[in-house]
Amino acid sequence: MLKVLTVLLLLLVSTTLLYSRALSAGPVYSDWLFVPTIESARASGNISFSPRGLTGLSYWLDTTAQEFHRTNVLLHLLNGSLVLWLFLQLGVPRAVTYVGTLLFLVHPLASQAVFYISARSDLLATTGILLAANVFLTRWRGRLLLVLLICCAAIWAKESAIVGVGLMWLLASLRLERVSMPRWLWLVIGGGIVGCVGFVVQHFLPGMQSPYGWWSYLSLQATALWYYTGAVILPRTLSIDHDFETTALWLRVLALGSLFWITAFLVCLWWMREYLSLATRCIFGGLLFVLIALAPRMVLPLAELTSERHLYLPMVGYALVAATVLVLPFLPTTSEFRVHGLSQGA
Amino acid sequence: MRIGWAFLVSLWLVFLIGQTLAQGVVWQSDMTVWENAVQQAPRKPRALINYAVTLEAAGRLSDALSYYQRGYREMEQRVFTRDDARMFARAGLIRTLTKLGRLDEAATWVPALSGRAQLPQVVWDSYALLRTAQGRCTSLVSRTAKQVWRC
Repeated sequence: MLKVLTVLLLLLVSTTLLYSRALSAGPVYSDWLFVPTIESARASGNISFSPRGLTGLSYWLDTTAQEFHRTNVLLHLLNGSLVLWLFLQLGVPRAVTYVGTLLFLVHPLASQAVFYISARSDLLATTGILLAANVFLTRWRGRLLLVLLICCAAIWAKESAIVGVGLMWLLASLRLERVSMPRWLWLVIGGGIVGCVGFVVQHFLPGMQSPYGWWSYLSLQATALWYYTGAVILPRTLSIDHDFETTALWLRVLALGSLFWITAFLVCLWWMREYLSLATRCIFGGLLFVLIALAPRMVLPLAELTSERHLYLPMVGYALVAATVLVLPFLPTTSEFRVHGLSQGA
Repeated sequence: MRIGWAFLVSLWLVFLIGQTLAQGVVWQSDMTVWENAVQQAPRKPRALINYAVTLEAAGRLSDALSYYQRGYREMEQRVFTRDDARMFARAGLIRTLTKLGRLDEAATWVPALSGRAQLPQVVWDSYALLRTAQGRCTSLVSRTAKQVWRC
């Protein structure tokens, strides 16, 4: 336990140093829209209970740009700690856990969510989901009610946190645990919530409707997903805005088709999860995590395509996959991590 | 084999940390963020227009005009462009041309706006600025649609 805490402390200190530059940054782009609003709201004493009310409330903690950035960095550190706890609870080997947490904390793909004050909603939603996942994996009595409450709080921070339902199902499946509620029911509930949110977004929220047709939206999202997956390995061209619309049609078809087959392959693999080694389970679990975390953005035709700050939660899955691949060669071929049959259990 | 792998992994981690540090430089201000966005996506209308807005705010009007024009041109070539984004770009063009004293040129961007009841405030602001520069409005305080059209 002491060793884990020491490693965590080292990671957090390094990350704080890495993000120290954020403290000297000013508001950027849409930050300018809400910071004066918060100032006037604070002066008049009116708290706005918008759909992202928890995020709005969190802004009340801060006054200057430096404080806004500081809270974002602190939330990132908290999320890093929750990732470490999650990996430990999932039974991921220590080496993979440490490297995975390090990747989550320092990877530049997660940096937009930290540097951009307006991306606070992504940070808070991730905090909620990771906390709910960790509570879900404990053996506390009545934890499902607590998980539900935390998930609701996360959804109040950002509506995309509804993916939490799907992720709980994934975690339960990966640990091969029996949960009181049938797994398929989790999926049905998750799908139902996604559908309801989609209906509300499309019919009641002005300005949220996608300018793209359904086909364009889906194929462009698939292209974006592949682009960001590449950026996990080589994050050279990070930006607040990407130009996916100019992608050739054949590339978009290829992106969507390959995504479909990989999803199908992962679903097939899920049925065989009891026979997989722990390393394989980490890799395909991480990939499924990414797909589930991005599912609402793929399915709901929203006003904007996925951008880097939306990759913050999926980064947990990417970090798990990357850490597993990085650590694998250092383990002996007979390691339980590499060859892990049914006999060893989960 | 393992030493080689460890070396590659270390190099990659150093590269990642370097990139995150570089992002810290990019996210310092609007200017650095949109300059980077234009470098990464030189044909993206939103990046071009937002960079133009930042340049305009910094007083670099000639550069801002060039990016507004590029952004608007790119918008016209795209299938998916939101109408409000187009209006926003037009407003920027009117504003920048007015500030540069090219009033006739600025006026050529106005006709497409006329007859539209629902326009963003930013469009009315730029139109009021032009009308004032033309000597038709006496004050920029009159910003509502009706007042701008009357003056």
